[in-house]
Amino acid sequence: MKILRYNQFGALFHALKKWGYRIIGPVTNNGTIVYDCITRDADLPRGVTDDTAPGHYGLSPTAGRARFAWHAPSNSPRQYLFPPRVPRFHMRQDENPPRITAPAIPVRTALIGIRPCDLAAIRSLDTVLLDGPHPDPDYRMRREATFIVAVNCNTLGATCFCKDTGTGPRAHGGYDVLLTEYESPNHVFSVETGSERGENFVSDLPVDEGSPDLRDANDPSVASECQSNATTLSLNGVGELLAESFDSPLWDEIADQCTTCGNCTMVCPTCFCHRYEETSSLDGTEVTRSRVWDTCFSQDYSALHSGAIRISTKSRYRNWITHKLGTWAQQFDSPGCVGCGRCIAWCPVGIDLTGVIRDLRRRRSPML
Amino acid sequence: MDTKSVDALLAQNPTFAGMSPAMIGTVAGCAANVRFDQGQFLFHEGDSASRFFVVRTGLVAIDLFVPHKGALTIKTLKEHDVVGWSWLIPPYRWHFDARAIENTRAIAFDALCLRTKCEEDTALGYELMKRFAQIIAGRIEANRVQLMDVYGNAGKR
Amino acid sequence: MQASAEYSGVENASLPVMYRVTARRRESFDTITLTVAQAKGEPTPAFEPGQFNMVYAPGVGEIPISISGSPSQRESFDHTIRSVGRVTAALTAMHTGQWVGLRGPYGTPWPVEEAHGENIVFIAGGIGLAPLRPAIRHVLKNRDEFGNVTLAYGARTPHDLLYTREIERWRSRFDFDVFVTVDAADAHWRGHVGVVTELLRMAGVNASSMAFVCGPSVMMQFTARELGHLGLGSDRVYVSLERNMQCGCGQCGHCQLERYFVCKDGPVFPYKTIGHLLSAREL
Repeated sequence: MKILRYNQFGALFHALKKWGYRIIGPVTNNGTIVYDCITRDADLPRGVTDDTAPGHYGLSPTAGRARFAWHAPSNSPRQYLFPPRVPRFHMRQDENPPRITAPAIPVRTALIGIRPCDLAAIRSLDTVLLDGPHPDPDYRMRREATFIVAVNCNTLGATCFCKDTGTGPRAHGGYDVLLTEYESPNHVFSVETGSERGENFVSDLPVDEGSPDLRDANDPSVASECQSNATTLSLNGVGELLAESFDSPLWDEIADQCTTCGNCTMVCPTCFCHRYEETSSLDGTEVTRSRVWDTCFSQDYSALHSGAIRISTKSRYRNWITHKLGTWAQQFDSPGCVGCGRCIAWCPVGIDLTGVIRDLRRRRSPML
Repeated sequence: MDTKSVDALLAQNPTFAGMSPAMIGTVAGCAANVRFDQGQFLFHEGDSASRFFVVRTGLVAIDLFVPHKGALTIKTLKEHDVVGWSWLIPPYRWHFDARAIENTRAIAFDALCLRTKCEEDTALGYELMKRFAQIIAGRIEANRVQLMDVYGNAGKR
Repeated sequence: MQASAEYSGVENASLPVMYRVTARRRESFDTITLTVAQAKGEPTPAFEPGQFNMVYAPGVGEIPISISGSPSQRESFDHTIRSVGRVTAALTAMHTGQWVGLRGPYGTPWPVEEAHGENIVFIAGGIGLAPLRPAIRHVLKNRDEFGNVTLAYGARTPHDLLYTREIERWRSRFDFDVFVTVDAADAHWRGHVGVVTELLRMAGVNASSMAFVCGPSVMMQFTARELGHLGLGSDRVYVSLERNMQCGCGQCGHCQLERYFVCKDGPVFPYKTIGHLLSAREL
């Protein structure tokens, strides 16, 4: 297998710039790991890991200099593939007929450090936004213009449950290049490719042939050694469980805590709900119509002129979790939840959706 | 008056279906054929509810009088429909106007005659009460739906 | 960044096409029908009865509106719009010469093909007659292909009735039974007053009918219940649902009803499929 040595990691950045990519990668900022614009290897975190729990996210140092010892950053690739606000079109109303122009083509972007759960999330977004007769044009352009350098996870975070959703901790496709970080016996990265342009790219890197001491990144024994302090959630029959639990008193209890802030939908890597907004010049001659993130927790989400359908907090929380873990899988050939655990860490009141499912199961079968 | 035809009509009427021929005969004994010209009132609000009707042909409007607005039709009754249930409920007075929208033929039933027979023959009274309870329930349910104003301009919040 | 003046291919398909208002007709105090056509008179995309366009009022917003004209009319689209909010207020204020953007047609149509040889009853409540009108016109144009054809139409008051002249023409046909009722009326009204379900028995609806129902959600529910009492299986009752729609094509998420996207799995559904979902509160 191909190896990139620790001290040569910067070559990745040189190559990406040479290929004309703007680079998005992980940095530490405000006590979190977050994907942001970066330009060089030194921007990446070193020897940092994340501590997560319901309603809690923190960083702490690790022994060693690993670049990728953390799990799900506070944001996700969705921020860049499906940005919070993009123009759909511009229109000049002072022409007859009004003239519509398309917005600019997105810049070529490389995403570095994408975890396997987020790769699965990207694939899930593809099934929503690309499949079918009406692909979202902005998403399609960004998707084609994005080069993905994924990194396997060697451990599971406390709020990770990707093993249960079948979306981690090892990547299976969906990347251009896949790295796995080994700290011993030497600190190196194994390099695999997942596409033709990935192969062409790697041929530009100073990679060596790997030593026989290094195990194959996809060796199942590696994955099973991932720390099992992570939360677990059996997802067998969860769709039926949620459908049967429509009238459960648990939803009222959750409604006492949930503030409908929508944080969960902001950090979720698969959420795709959006709305459209008009902005215009003061004289109304120029109009821009933009696609903007929306959340099913907002009061107006289900609103018709006669009012909203989901008015209570209980109905909105129930709707979110039922879609994410249940009906999504009936709509699209992909998982709605990829087990990244972001919603657990970033819920300000610490609601844990894996706990909700366990609770529903207990209530349905109290003897088990 | 040809009571036989009234018997046959009642036997086929959805409201009276299932009553024994003897009971239908008793009810028919209080009946008379009547007709109303278009625009004529069957009864007025406040009148003593001395008779009720089953429409044979035509169309009858049930009107509410609203001060400053005039008459508001809240229901129309057509062939086979029963007009009036206040004859069964004290103080036996009409709460609405009933007006023929078209030339209407109906069977009129003497309320006092029928109430007396119901007091004597409580089995007959029960059969009639069951059927009229259903009519009243149906009218209430329809009114509830009309009250929901489902077609209304609910855009005003 | 490179700028591009034009989208191409799939990107173009998702931009609204500008249509000019060529006619405007007042149906009632808050409802108008706009006829819109493309700038150079190009034919409209073909549509099936029951489908909708996403109609864009520039600078204001975009909403789903059923196409209310004949499928065979290809030089323009008719949209019947009731003013209930910001966008509909802007659209109903438009005059000939002004522009709207259209995307579509979207959605599942009324199953008119399946109704060949059957007795059809159209049941409309309020503005629900608008999405049914293309199906009614199509059926009347191909009258021989169907059994008995009936319309039961309920509105709030006589002033709220749509398409009054066309309804009179329908009434004058011997092969189309038309029943109209209102919730309340003054003495000038010589027709029925009461809920629309009261017309159904009079209309001879029975187990052999197929029903196409459109109106407020509550009205469709109690109509479906009454149709059940009259012997119609819920697989022979079709309804058209309304939901918040931002994209019209299953991507914005807003129109979801359990697993269904009302914009692409509907808006026309067999009642058997979604009846139980409509009665689940706050689903």
